Amino acid sequence: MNEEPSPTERHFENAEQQRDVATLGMWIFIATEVLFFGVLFMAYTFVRWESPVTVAAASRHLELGLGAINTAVLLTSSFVMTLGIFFNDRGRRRLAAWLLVVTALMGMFFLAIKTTEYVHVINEGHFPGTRFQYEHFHPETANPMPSGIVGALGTQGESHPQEIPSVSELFFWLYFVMTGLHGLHVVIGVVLLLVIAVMLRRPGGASRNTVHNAGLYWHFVDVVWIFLFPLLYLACHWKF
Amino acid sequence: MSTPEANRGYLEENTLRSWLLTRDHKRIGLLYLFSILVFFAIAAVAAGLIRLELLSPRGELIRPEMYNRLFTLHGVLMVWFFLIPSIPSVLGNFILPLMLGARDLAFPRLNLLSWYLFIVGGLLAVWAILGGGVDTGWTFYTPYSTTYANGQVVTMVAGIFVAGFSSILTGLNFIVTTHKLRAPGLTWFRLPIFVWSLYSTSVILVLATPVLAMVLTLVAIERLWGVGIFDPALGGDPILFQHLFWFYSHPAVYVMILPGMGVVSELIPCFARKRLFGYPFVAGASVAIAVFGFLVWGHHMFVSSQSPYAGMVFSFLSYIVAIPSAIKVFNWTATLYKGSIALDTPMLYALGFIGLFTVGGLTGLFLAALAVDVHVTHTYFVVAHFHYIMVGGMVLAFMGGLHYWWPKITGRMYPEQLGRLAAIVTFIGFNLTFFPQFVLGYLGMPRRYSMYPQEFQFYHVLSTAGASILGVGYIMPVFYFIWSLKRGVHAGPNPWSATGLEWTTPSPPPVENFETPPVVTEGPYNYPQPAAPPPVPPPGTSGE
Amino acid sequence: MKPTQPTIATYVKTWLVLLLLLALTLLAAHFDLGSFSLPLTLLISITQASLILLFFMHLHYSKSEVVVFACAAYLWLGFLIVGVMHDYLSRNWVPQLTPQPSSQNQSH
Repeated sequence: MNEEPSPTERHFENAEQQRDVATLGMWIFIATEVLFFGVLFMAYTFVRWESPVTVAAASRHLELGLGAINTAVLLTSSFVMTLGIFFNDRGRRRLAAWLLVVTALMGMFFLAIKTTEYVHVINEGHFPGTRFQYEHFHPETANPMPSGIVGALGTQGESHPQEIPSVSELFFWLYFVMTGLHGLHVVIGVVLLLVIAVMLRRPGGASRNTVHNAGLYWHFVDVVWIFLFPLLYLACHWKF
Repeated sequence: MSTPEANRGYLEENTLRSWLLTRDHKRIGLLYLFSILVFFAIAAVAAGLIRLELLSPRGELIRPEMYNRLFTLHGVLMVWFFLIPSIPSVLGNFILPLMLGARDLAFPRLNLLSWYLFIVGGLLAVWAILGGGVDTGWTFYTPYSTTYANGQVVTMVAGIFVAGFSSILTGLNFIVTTHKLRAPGLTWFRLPIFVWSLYSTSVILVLATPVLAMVLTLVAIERLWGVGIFDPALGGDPILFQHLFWFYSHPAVYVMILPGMGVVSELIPCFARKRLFGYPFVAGASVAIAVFGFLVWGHHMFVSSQSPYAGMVFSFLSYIVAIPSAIKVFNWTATLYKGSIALDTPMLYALGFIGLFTVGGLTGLFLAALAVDVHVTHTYFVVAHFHYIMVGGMVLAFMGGLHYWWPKITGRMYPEQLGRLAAIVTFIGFNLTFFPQFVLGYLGMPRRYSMYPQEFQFYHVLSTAGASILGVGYIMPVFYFIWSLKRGVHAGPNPWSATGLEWTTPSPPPVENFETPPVVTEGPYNYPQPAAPPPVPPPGTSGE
Repeated sequence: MKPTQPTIATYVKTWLVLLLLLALTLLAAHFDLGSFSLPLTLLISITQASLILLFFMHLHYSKSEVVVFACAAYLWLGFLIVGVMHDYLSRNWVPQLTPQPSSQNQSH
């Protein structure tokens, strides 16, 4: 492997120890992010368990096509990132820099689509708050689940009180908070990748460990979206 | 390998810049020490005012609205700005790399960042206090905190959020350092228990604190924008807040006690001159507490409308989690048995810890019993229970550790007689303050109330009297530690004749800790064993 | 020591499978699968996430302590979700204390 030697910091014995330290540290950071986002997934679980029909009805108002395109974009951007790391490890710094730029561009494309979606949602009056349009969301007018009122989570046949229509506002609250937090992480990732790409142009800038850790971060952001997409956009079934 | 700069004492360069931009774990530990003591002082003054108010059943030294702000301030500052950082960020930062034979932590710059985050979080908390305070209690229950409270809730939770990231970074640093920077020959089962305890604490910090960060963010969002997951009118649930809050806050209490147990595990073998009994069990118990501590949070919610079946599960698991703690107490006791006990100041604190932690732990089991909890929850019984563990346990352990490692940190001994006196005064003051509170709670005195029926006054007076004695016990070390910096006896590398790598290097240590990197060839606590009794000759033979 | 390093072929194959699984998710959404739809969707997502963790994030090639922490995160999230939901799911197991005129909940 044709690596450029990275300056080993004084308190490390050797480069391998430094690399292991960087990797383990980054994975622990990712673990904290899993728990951080996890609270929102917990909140989602609660809302969907409580009001499956209303959640399904609300979910139908999201734009599945845009969501699916975004998923494909992120998956592909992860793939490009792996190539960037691959070539950087082999000393092809300029190529790696360009691959990181492409990854960042795909991230920006994701954000552009996301912004479009947000604008549409707000224009339809679905932004949570005082101007939320409840009349779009009566459970009885939404596409009924042919399997009956019990949603996918199934609740042992006990009787729910009539679902609260305002859960639809709560669904959109979850939509904005979850995708918003995710989007913030995408923004951070894009900036990080562009900065590293610039640093890679100079010899001795951006160590192997930095590039690897940026990759781990980007892939993690992708993993979060992989769960967000079906839970938010596919809570109901869609006829194409 | 090491340069002349690396071998200078770490305290020698004394510019402001060298302190504020340090990457030396030892200096960062001292920065934390100074900071947490400031927050402790503020929170202790609040406690003093609370105890003064409680001297009289109906008196109004302090208006009820102010009283609510005081106990909230006391809880928030003590939990997040004193207890959680105390042993890990002060003693852990200083001692962990030394115990591992390392030159520093894995991420020295992240270490400095964690201190700055702590300071920013603390400043936000102070700003919240000065801007009118918060009256929700340190537990921030919804819907009061999200909807009805007037006060600086958002600023306060922002401060806690930032301080939370400080502790996440510390935990991350400790875990990676323990995995990767151990000296040659220092295998996992040769590590001192203090390292095992800090490691377990760090696992809790990295897995639990992010949950707190998010749940506080959700409170802030709901408060600022009026829409949220804790609002029943929208289909949300206030009890969901409690689940999410306690998912962090219960493991947080183990963050607060595990490092204290780690310190005690260092003190007992040293001052009993005897190897720690059952080392693998004590090490395993630390990890078990960290893991099982995540599964019991519902015991804070027995009367919240949580389902009784979930209550039973959480109650059962709460009994299970007591077992590893009990294992530690038994092992410390077995270590003491037939040891040559020296009642130096650190040992007095360690012995106090064992007794008071046991009382606190046992009363926790009372609370974990569903039916008993219905009667004593939200009373002073709970207050006494957690103060026995946090003050009787954690603060005593912190004091014990501080006295034990003071010569290593500063190169000076503290005055021993004053140390012993302060320990005894603290012990007496503590018990007088908090034992009456068990009785109060049992008799029905609710917590967080500033007014109460006449028949409770006797116990409140005892408690306030105890608090004033406890205050003396706290203040004495401040004076004699400062005195010792200039006038204390110079300490050598190992004033206690203790085992452990930290005692093989000069006091105070050089910047890079070890002049030559150590190599470890034996297990920890290799104290001389007490002399074995002479062998009994078999019957029918003449004895030797 | 680590097993073999990933090759570009590994990355390409993983990426294609990921896209395939995305198509599968969309296809599954087209059919009404009732109470199977959520478990199926989650299963596909978990598979996609696992592929990314193992191959893009090199978990397959990583040291054991890294694998432990990677898995611990999800296990702990599981503790949170299971722990909270077992409360909500068992709330209705408590028998009604006041009789209702219409059909009652069954007590266990």
